[in-house]
Amino acid sequence: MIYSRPARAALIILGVVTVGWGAVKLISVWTTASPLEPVDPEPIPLSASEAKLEYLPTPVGSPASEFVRPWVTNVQLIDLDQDGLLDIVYCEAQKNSVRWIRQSPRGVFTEKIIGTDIPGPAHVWASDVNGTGRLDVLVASMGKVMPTNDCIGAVVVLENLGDQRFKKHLLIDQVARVTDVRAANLSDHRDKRLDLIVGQFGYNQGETRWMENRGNWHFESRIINTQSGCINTPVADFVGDGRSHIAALISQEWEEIHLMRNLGQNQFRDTVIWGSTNEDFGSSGLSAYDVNGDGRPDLICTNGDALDYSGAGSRPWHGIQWLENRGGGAFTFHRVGSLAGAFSPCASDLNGDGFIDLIAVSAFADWSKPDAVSVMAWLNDGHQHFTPVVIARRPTHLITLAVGDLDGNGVPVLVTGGFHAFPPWDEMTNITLWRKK
Amino acid sequence: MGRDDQHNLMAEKVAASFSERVYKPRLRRVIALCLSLLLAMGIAASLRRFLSSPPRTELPAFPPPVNIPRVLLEHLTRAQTRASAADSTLSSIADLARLYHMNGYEKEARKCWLILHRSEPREARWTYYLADLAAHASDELEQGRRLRETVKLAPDYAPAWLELGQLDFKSGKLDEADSAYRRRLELLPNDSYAKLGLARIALQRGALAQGRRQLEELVQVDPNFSSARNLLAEILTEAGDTEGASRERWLGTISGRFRAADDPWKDELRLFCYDPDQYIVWGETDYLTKHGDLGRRALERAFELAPTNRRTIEMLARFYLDVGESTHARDLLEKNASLIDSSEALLAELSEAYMALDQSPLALQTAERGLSKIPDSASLYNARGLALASIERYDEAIGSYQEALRLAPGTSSASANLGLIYLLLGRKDEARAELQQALRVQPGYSKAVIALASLELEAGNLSTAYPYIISFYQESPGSQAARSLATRYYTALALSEEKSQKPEEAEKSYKDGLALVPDSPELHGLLGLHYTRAHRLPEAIAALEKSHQLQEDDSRVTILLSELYSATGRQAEAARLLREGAARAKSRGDVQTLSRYEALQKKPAQ
Repeated sequence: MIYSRPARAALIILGVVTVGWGAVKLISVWTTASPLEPVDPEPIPLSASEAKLEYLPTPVGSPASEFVRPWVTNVQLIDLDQDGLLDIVYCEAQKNSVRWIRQSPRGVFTEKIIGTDIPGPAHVWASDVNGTGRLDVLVASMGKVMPTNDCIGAVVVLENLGDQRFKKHLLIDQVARVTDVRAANLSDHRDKRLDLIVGQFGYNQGETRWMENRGNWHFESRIINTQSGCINTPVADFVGDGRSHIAALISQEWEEIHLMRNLGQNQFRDTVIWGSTNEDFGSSGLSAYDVNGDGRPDLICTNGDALDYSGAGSRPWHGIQWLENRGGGAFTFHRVGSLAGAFSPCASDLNGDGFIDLIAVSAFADWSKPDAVSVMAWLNDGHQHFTPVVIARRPTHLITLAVGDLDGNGVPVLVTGGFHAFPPWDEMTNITLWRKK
Repeated sequence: MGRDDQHNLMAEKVAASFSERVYKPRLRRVIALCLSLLLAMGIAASLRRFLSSPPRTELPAFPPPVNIPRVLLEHLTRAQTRASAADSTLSSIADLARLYHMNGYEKEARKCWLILHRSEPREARWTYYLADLAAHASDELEQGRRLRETVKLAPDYAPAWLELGQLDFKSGKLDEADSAYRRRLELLPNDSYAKLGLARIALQRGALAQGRRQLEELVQVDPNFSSARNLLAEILTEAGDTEGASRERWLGTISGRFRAADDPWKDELRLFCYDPDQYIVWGETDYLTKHGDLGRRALERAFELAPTNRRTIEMLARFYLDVGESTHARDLLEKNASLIDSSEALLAELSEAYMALDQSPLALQTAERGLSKIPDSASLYNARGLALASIERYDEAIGSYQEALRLAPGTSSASANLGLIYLLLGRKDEARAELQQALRVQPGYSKAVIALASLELEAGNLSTAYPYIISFYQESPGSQAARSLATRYYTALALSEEKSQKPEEAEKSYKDGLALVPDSPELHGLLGLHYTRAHRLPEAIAALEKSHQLQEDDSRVTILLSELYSATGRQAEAARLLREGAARAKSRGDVQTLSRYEALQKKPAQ
């Protein structure tokens, strides 16, 4: 076939373009599918298993109607009268009171107010502060639970006088809002006196301090850290040197977990052991527990705080994680799972398999969604792989949780507190017991 | 050479010349072909980029349209349609990704960013957004990988270096964090965030002196960086400098809320957010950090997205009240009357708006309407007290404030308001106690500071007044109230020193006052008088001229200056001053001052 010159030229150009296209395609395949660049796998979604753990909720103590809208801020399981039966101690910020739901005899619960006029109580703890043999109640007073930078925080101790009587001591006030108070022997007392560890959220300013017990209800404060947003300050021998050290959850713009190492002689060294760069992380709770059974106290942390947002302020990254204590003050972060509005991390062997499971509640889920979860557990397979299990979707607005052998039969009972500061206002609860069916 | 040889030679020459002829054209053809091929590849690559569409089957499935706000659902649907179309482009996928990213659909966003990243591996934004999602998921390994990739692709993008520095710091990788912060400083010299990071690294390593020095340098350059102030307070506390620590904590307090570093790539995503709660947080942050339009746009956007949400109304109304747009606040709240009746905050704001517009009866009515529904509201009792005080029902106002304090003992405004009423009623001791209580709860509360400082100045307690005045001035050096108080203080101090025959101290006090308030006509005038008495006429004239320049209507200064002009042979200027003074007095109808000027004008020149 004989082609004219223009036709020949056109054919040549077409052929060259085709070859060129093929070459470009080959090159792009080579560069975008480099064997050194793995194609990102889809994360395997965890599906929450239903109905592996069934619990029956039972209200206990004062009815929700007494408070109109209950604002329970913290609940603890403590044998306050040391009669061998666990009781429930809680604080609430509507009437600004601290209450003791005493269990006596077993299975019979009677509520009694043991502290009043404590503005914005946020946390309770029990310790024998002065070596009397009786457990006193330590109360963290925020002054106001809703956001403010006003210096209206206080540390209150309800001294246990015996015979179910308590005397209120105001140790410090007009400080950055106080969110946690614990007790431990930080300064080598030999007479069973305990010092106090105080976490102060504040708002723009906050701090973490310890208060040396000088005796006779006189305490001397020492500031360890001046970052805003301290939420919880669990105390344990995190380092393995026989001393009590402080772990602090510092939120606000920091979103960090600190280890405040007790060096002895009233000296502390503050270091960051983990942090998120997500300024909206919403740290909400920190507790200490030996999750992997290696004898070292680990840390469990939730993030679900959405008080800066109105109503349903949950964020997709809310959930729970644990920091594995590797010894010597080193920790490794492990994300466990998601839970919108997660608060109050707890640990217990819920299914009796000998492994420590994790539990949390939700205060800020989108309650208009029928699948919003209010109580979630993560079951441990023994190798610290956790499977999420929904325990409850109702009642809602749960901000605090405690777990313990309330019934004395070896089966953990969950106890929750309702914080109804945002709508919807149906199904409000005050204190609820959750017993396994 | 024989004939055959000649033929062979000739044949060889012909063959050689032939091969040359063949060789040259072949070479040219090969070269032409290669050039054509290169040209074709270039054309093909451009065409491919233009014509190629992303793999649409990889797009994430559309989320179930349950509980998605209508506006967001519309945008998502449109974006999904565009991205799924046969002629879709990477740009349409990017828009879809942004929508997912900013509205809580992180799984879907991740898929979209991965598509984009595979299609455009050199575009640093895509991998940066993947790092952001990894941060949300607390996946530090992925986050670190993506950030490292970002800074490799875009080594000049400073925000990525900061993110990387912070991630490394919080993971305990201090050396790597140090490098990242320093790289950021190379790009942004004097960047406060990087400097803070380096200071924290020093502190983590136990180098307290170095950390302290770095923080001190930082707050000198950026005095409003509250996080640095708070950390410095910690170091000073540890060093036993309690006064310094208190000062830093105080300066941290007045610096206000922390603000994250600017990040233009993340800011690009904001336009795609349809979450009113998020806009409220952004608006509040901008307002508290005095950034940009103080959060107006963000708060108004929040209201647009959720016009029946109490919190959006509350935040926007609060903003309007704080910037002095009381009419806007009132109109906004009145329009939503049905919502506000069950909201303590909204009712209190409406009452406040009425007060700002001098509509006290309406303010009182609103507060009382609110109390009938919410009887234990401290803020409504406080609002009621303000309304009652404005119509001189002082006893009831006192009762209202006391009730507010009974319900919420830590309320600084109620304490301050109660103190002001006591002051008005001459009950100074009670006033002092309440105002001090207000400051204990909220140090620097301006209403209480001004009242207490004035109270102490009037009582002649200058040393007691000083700390209030100086801290108020430090907090708000531009505020008229702070400058006025400072002027009053230094004037009173200087005059008391003059009276005690301490002229040098008095002169220092005038000058200290002028250092804070250089445009105070009173201090310049009094300093001029001081120099006059000391016969330092040139200095006196200079001071009085300054005072006159700042406030021409002060006849005392005008007259004294004219006398000094006369005494120094400047008769014409003296006469001019008197003429101008008289004219001003006449124009404002000040007969007494006018006659004084006229008398002086009649006096013979000295």
